[in-house]
Amino acid sequence: MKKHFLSSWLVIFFFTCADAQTSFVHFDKPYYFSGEHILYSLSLEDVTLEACMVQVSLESSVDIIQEHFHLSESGQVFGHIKIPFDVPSGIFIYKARLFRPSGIAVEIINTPVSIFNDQVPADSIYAWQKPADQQVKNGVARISLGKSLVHPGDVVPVDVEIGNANSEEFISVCVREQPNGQESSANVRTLTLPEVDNRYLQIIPVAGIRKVEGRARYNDNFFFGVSNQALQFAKCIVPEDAFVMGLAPFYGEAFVQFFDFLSRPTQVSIIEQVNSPVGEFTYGVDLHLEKRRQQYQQRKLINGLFDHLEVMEDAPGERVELFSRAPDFSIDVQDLAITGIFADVFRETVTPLKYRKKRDGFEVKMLYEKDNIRNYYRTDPIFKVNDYYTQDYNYLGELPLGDVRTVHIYNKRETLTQLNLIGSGGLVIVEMMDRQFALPDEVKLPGLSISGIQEPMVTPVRPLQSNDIPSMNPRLFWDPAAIANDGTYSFEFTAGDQTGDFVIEIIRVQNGICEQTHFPFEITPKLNN
Amino acid sequence: MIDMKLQIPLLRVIRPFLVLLMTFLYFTALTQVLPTPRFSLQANRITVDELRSIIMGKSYYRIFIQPDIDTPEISVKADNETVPEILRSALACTNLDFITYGETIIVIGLRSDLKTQQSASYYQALEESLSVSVKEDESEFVIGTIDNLVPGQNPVVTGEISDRENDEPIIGATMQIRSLGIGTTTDELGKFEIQLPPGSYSLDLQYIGYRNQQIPIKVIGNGRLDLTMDKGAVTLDEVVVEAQSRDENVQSVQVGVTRVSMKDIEKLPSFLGEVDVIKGLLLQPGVSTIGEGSGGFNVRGGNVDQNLIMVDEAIIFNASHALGFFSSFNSDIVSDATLYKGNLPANFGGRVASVLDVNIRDGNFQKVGLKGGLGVVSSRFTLDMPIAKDKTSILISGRSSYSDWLLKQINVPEVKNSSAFFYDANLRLTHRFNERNFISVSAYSTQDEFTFNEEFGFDYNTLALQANYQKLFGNNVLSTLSVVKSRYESAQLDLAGTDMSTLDIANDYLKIKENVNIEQGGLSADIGASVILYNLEPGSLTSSSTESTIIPRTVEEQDGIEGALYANISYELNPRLSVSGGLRFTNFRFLGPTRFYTYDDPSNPTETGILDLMEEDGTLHQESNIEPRFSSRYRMDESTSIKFGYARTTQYINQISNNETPTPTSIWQLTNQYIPSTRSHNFSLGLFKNFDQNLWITSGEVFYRHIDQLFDYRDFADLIVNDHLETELVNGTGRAYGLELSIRRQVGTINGWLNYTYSRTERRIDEINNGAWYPANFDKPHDLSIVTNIQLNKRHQFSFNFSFSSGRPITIPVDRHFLEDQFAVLNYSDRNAFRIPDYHRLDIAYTLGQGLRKSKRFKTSWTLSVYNVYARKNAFSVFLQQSSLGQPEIKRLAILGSAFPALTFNFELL
Repeated sequence: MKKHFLSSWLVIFFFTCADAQTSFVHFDKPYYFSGEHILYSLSLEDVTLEACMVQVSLESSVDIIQEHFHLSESGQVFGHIKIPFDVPSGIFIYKARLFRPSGIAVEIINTPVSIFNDQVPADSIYAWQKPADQQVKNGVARISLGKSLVHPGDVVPVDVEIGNANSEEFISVCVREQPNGQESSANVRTLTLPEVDNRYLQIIPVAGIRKVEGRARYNDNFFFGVSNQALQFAKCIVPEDAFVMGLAPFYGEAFVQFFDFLSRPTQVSIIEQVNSPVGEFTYGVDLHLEKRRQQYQQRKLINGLFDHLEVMEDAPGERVELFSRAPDFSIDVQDLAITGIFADVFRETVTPLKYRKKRDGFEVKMLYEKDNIRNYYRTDPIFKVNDYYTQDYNYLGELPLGDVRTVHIYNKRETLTQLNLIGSGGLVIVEMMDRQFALPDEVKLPGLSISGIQEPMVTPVRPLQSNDIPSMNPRLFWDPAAIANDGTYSFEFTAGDQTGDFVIEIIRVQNGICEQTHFPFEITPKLNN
Repeated sequence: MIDMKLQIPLLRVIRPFLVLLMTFLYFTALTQVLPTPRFSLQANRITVDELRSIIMGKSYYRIFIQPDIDTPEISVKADNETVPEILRSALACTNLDFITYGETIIVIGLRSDLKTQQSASYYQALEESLSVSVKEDESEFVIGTIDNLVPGQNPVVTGEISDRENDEPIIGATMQIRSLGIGTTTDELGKFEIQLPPGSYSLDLQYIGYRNQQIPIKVIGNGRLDLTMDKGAVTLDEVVVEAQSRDENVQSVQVGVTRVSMKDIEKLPSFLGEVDVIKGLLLQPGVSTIGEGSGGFNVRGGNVDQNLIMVDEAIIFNASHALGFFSSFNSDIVSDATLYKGNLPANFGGRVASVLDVNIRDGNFQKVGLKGGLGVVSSRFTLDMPIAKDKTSILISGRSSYSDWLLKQINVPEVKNSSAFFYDANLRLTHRFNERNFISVSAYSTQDEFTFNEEFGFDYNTLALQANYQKLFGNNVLSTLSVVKSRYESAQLDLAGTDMSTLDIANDYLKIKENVNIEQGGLSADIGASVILYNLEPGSLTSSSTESTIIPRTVEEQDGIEGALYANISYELNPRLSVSGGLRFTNFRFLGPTRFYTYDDPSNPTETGILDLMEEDGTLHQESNIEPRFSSRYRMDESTSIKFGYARTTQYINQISNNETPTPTSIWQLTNQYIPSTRSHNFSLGLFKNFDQNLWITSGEVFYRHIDQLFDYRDFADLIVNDHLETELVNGTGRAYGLELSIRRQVGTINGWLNYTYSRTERRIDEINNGAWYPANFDKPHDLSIVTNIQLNKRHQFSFNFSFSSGRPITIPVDRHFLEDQFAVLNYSDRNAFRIPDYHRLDIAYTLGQGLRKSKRFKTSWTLSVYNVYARKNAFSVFLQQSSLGQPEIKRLAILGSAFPALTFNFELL
């Protein structure tokens, strides 16, 4: 077997710095194949806010491969990007952004990442880029490996000692295969971090274009976003057509519907991100890349045989419930001894919602009471039917009563204040008998699918272990948020079945300087097993 | 252990040297080679797993074997060879191969799999489907995994549709993928199978009385999809959609089948508030009864005992309470009842006229449910609940009467001194071992006690225990093994006078049946065998008082064994023509040891012809019959079909009665050397037409039934505790023919049906009426029933039921003559030469549903019903009575001569 060693400075992290603003990113590997996960940890060294929202994306020159929001606390961010299996080979840009009130993101990280598609022969693709001339200190940590010889399947304890450490200090730890390769070089852009608006640092920004159909345009009027997930409500003022709306943080994807303050038919679309062109990088050629590619293909095949493709497990995030008040009035429609259409419910029952037939359709108004005086809200109520919002009262009014299960009405002022300006006309939640019932598209308020916060990664990340399944993960351990107490940190990892050269890597960011230590070691087969 | 601590300035200085050192070490490392192990090895017929252990014990290789593959035995002969060389030669003659990863990992797998270069989309699909077979998330059901997708074939999706509330399978639910124009329906176990190309679809799920569902599904590979449906009030707007799939009457191949749902029966006005399955059947075309208070029913000219009544697989000999006023099926636990009126599929047999197949539902696998009702004469209660959620459920139900208080209110001394009590109880335990193995164990028990004016009475009870084990092989083959043990006991009590006595009869049987159902594409087959061991106690008379003059006597027990082999295949030849055919082979043996008489003319045994009394063991009589069954359906267009059916049936056990209607102690007689089996030919031809998108369902059927070796009794026959019963019986032939017309509106605010039957049922027996055809007791040429339900809304519902039938035939004295000028002797007419007056009756019911904004979980309703609204004194029979002037007068016996109102409170906890 050939033994391979690599120089300790091989690229595993990138950083940007400008003036006193320095941010660092630590990747778990120097390059990736399609289908793998990019694990990363960000250190926003000079963002002094306790919590802020960071948008991370992986982009090609023409497309956004994936993007996520992260809620950063104490300047630490860690997450993962799943590279699709069919992504082409090439250099991709990893970006991290904060937001300004205009909705235009401030880039704090912009660095290339090499991704290879294993279906394409390696001789037609590039190797990886050279890191910038970094402000990096090497070899600042002392690493003690608990075993002199590491064999497949061994549980290996590791002790780390960091000099000049605070009582509690974040470090990022990775144990991974040490890739072969030649020296390469690349330019890394340095970016400035201008002042950011605190108001926008804890919301998920939605930047888009609103188009009002067929009517005269009113500027500076309210525009609302409502989400069927966790009853989210948000508002913004649209000066002209472009808008930026801040949604309260939520995990995963949410379908957000929009409506105009004047209830005019509108269309919405997301503002396309302007992708940064891929910079001029200089590439080296990795003589061993073809072998790596073939190994990766074989690994996929074997994992396929064992149903064992590596999948990142996300921790279940807590759903953000913004609105959990009991309704002010409820009707169990199926208990009413009437047949007919939905509008008949409000004719037969005494509720604050008035649903009246007019010549060309229905008029709907909500009553409220203040100081013993009853009055109508000026704005129109909004209806949530199963999972979707609508203000098409004519359609709703004609719904057969047999299809409707319950109606919940929110009309009290103190309740509606929770709903922001959007609920100022009242809110009606309609549950249909058929839970799969969906409003027709022409009836629904226009909507967009918005990515929320990525659910926190479960760390440390270890390869899945099973006696019957070969463990061939090139990453043995990844903990981007390890805390060193008084400069010491201990952990253990399990060696996989794969033999060869591996490296333990410790990253610490202190005073705007990234300190790294590499500790190469070898996993050797047990000769007598 | 290596320590690493470098000062930063030092690092900067030595870094170039470090690089050089590392580079040197790197190239040095390239030249190092791990020693390659070599072995000498010889082994015959070892498993791949054993070879793996040997190699891993001697080398550093880590060997893994692809899971879930069959590994053959191999022989190894190696002389100083490397591990790859050993494996290569050892696996050469198998379908296995291996690959190496790095220097130390070897994976053995199927050669075809190892050579496969999977596309990126394969890994995408694999990753999506990892560890889940069916994943229910907010958006869609994901079915199958990439691994069980067979290249070149569409994935097969199998599953079961059940009721969300009680987990009962839903039979006949339609599933459609509109975008593909593909659909299927669930079978009698609520199961389905459909082939779909991989992709995302919207699955439309529909069943009458349930809410339509559009279910987004994503099909990746072969997989399972189990769905539940919610019951729902049907509004007129929904009807059109649902009714489009409601063309089962046009589509199905079988003719003469009536499936009665409990939902329909529960709507009907009922006698004293008791919802009754059999009373619901009497409103169907071709089904009639002699009159109120008569047990059983007659189907297309068949006798009462010629109907096979089954609760699941248990045969019930007496399914009535209170001498026939109620049936012994608690409506709360019946899932559905199907009546085959003549054209039986080959998996049914043993009776010549019809099969009533009553299915008891399983207990709820999800949550506790309660259901019951409080009525004027009886109450019922059902509890069903999971014992282990989704695995084991239990259903317990009971019903008991307390009618004595009502009898006490009636100002007739005889009635005041009477009492009537009954109860029935059911227990059902169902366990699902997994998706493919189920078992259910049930017990069914009924008891009736009836006394009249402390003069006479009846006690009778039924106990049936059964176990059904179902196993699904693959996706298409379902095996059902049933074991039933049952006993029916009945006693006729004479409570007063010098003839105080008790007459006991009992029927005991053990039944074992195995049925294999195969569903493949348009083919459906049932293959099976059954055996029934009978032990009958035809009569034991004991005196019940020391003053009684009755001499106790007992008739010999009868033993018999009835075996059957059958196969029934249904196949859709093309969308227009479907056929179903089958054969049933039956063999019956009358077994000893028993005593029997010999006669001078065994073909015509008479009391005067008795030669000897003998005793013999073994098989005293045996006979075999082949019963072909056939039915076909030709579909003329989307809403019209013509069906034809033929069935040959045989019956080896008959009930002997000389009353108009059998009593609980009417004895059952097995076929023996003197009493032959009864056989019938059944022909049916039907036209089925639906209108207005299946909203209106109409049908017209003509039928003809010919019965051979039909029993009747001689004039003045003595059937009680008679050890030579054959001398009292005569046999002949019977025929029945008729036309059945039906119009039905299934759903809507006003729904119901109108059924009209014109039929004739006749007998011909040499000894009766000089061998001429005469009408049977229950021959009622005209039979009309009109049922109307008006569902104003969920709260208010009215039902009306009007029945009319011709009066049944009767034999009455027409003349008298005097013997010695002193004793008057009545001269009777020919058998059944006259008819009693026509029968008609109107019933109404009003149901007050759940109140405004009450709890949805606890449902209640009140039902007010009036039976026989205009208090017609319908005649049960007509008889002669001497008037006070000494002249004979014709009197009418009306069992229910007045209107019977009843109020019932029903409740249900969901």
